[in-house]
Amino acid sequence: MTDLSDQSPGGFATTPNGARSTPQSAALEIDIVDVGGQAAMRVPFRAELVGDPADGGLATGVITTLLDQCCGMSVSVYYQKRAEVDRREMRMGGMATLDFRIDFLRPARPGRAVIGTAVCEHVNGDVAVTRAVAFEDSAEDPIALVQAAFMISSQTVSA
Amino acid sequence: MNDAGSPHPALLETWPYAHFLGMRAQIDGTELTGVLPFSQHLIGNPILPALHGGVVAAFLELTALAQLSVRAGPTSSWRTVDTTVDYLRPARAVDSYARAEVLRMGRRVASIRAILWQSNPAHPVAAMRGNFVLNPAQSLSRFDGPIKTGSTGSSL
Repeated sequence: MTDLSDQSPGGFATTPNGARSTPQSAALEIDIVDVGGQAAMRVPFRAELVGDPADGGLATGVITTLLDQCCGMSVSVYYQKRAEVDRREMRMGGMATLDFRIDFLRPARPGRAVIGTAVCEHVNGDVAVTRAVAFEDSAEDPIALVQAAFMISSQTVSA
Repeated sequence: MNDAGSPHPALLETWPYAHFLGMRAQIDGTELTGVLPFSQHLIGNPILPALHGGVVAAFLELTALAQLSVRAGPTSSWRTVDTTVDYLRPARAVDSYARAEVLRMGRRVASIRAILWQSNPAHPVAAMRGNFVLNPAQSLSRFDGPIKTGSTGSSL
């Protein structure tokens, strides 16, 4: 398990997207996991986070929150990669979810932790476009798919 | 709990996650208002501070599900197919309210529009659109099976 600040050369360690840097992600016990350099997080199973007891898995709302957080992290990862490619330091200011669409393909399985991974596809001016997926074992067997846009404020620090 | 003539949405009692959020509901006839009292653990942006975007979406979704169970009967059980949330303003560290409008409720699927507001109902904080299906065991034709026509099963 890696801490976000360990991966960050730039300013995003202080953004509110570190895994437990917000009270809600701490309450859900969300942690960052290493899935091939992607933005990836895991929420452990807890009985108090179950949605429909007939299904017995983590609630849809928990998965929504996990993937919202992952999408935010993916924007930070995008900035990190851009900074490496462009050889200039880019700092991200604040970030706010603009819209968030989630499709639930099936309920989460009872007793299982859920992993979310996200990719920032593009940053266009003030808007970042992201995609995310939630699963227990493999992204080939998804629980939910997300497409989300974020408003960001960014600045180039040095040329 | 279940006063006659005032069907209480069972999911707010039986879904552990609804308790985790601390969500409640006010019911007036068949119209439900979701209430999410502010609590520190709902914060997603400690700097503003603001509620987590996922909490905002989850509260809207639960309000939609609760409104559906009031309309369709407390024993009905709905599953979320998809939701889209537009975030219009920061959700501040105060109590939140939500109301869901049933655009259409068919035999298997319902379309919902919902709004979340805080101190001023005229200033929506977030808006949701979503589709929901009756759980397969309750629907007249299985979601993943052949569509039965002329079913003699009970209607909603």
